[in-house]
Amino acid sequence: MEFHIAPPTLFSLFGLPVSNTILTAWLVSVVLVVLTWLATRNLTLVPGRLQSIAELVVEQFLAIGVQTADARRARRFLPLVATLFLWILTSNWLGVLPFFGEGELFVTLHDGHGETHANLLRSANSDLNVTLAMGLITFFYFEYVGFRAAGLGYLKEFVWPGLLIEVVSHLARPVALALRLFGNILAGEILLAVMAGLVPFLVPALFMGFELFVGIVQALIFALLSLAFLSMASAHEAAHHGAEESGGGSSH
Amino acid sequence: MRRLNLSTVQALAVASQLGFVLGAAVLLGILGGAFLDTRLGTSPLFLVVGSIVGAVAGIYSAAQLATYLLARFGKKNENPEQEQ
Repeated sequence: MEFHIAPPTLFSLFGLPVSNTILTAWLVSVVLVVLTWLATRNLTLVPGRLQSIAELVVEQFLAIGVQTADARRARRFLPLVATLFLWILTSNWLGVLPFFGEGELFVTLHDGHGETHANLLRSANSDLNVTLAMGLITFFYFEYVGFRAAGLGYLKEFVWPGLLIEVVSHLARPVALALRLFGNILAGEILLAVMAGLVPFLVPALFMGFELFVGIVQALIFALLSLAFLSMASAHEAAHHGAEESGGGSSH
Repeated sequence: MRRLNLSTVQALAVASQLGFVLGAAVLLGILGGAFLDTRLGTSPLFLVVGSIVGAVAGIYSAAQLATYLLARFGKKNENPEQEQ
C-alpha cells in the first residue's frame, strides 16, 4: 500500500496544476453553496425544515462564539469564522465517505516513469496548501483588523519585545492553525487506509466514527482560535477608543 | 489561584495551540535561518540564531494567548473558608 503525503496532480487548468484535494475543495464549495441556496431561497418568518437547520447552525455557532469573544465581536466576525467552520467540517466529513481517499475512484496518470494510479478525490484538509491558505486568510484579516483598529499605532506592537520576535510570533499563528488541521486529517486518512487494509469489515466503521468526531472538533478548534486571534487584534480598537475618551473627558 | 471557565472544546483548542505555536515558531525560525545560511554561506550561524529566535517567539506567542485567556475567561476560585 502506498500513501503519498503530497497530493498528485490530476490535470492542469490554465497552466495551474489541479490535484485531487483541489477537486475535493471545489466539490465542498459547490455542496455548501447549493445547500445554503436551498435553505435561504424562500425565507419565511415561520421557517421550514431546511431554514430551521440553517438557523440552528448559525445560532449555535454564534452562542459558542460569544463564549470565546464578546457578543459584538462574535457577530462582527461571524461571516468569516462560521464559513471556516462549515467549510472545514463539510470537507472533513465528506473525506470520511468511501469515495474519498483510498477508495474506489481511481485515475491513471501517465508521466515520464510510466503509469501510476491516483485517487480521484481526497480530503481537502489533508493537503497543507489548503490548510495554509485558510490560515493565511485568517492571518491577513486579523492584521487588517489590527491596523484598522489602531491605525499606524498597531506598529507599536512590533517594537517590544523586538521586530523579529513579533513578526515570527504573528506568522506562527496561521502556520500552527494549518499544521494542526493538516496533521490531524492526514493522520486520519492514513489510519483509515491502514485499518481498511488490515481488517476490511466492521473495524474501519469504528474508525470512521472516530474521524467524524475528529472532523467536527478540528473544525471548531480552527474557527474558535481564528475568532480568538481576531478578538485579540480588535482589542486595540477598545484600547484606542478608551485613550481618545479619556483625553476628551476632562471637559465634563 | 484563578481558574479558567472554558468548555471542553475551548480547552482543547488552547492546549493544542500552545504546543503547536511553539513548534511552528521554531520551524519558521529554522527555515528562515537555513534560507539565510544558503544565501550568505554562513552555515550554521543563522540556523542556530533562527531556532533561538523561533523558540523565544513561540514562548512569547503562547504567553500572549495565555494572557488573553486569563483576561477573558479567568475567574477567582470561590473558597468560602478563605472568605471567613
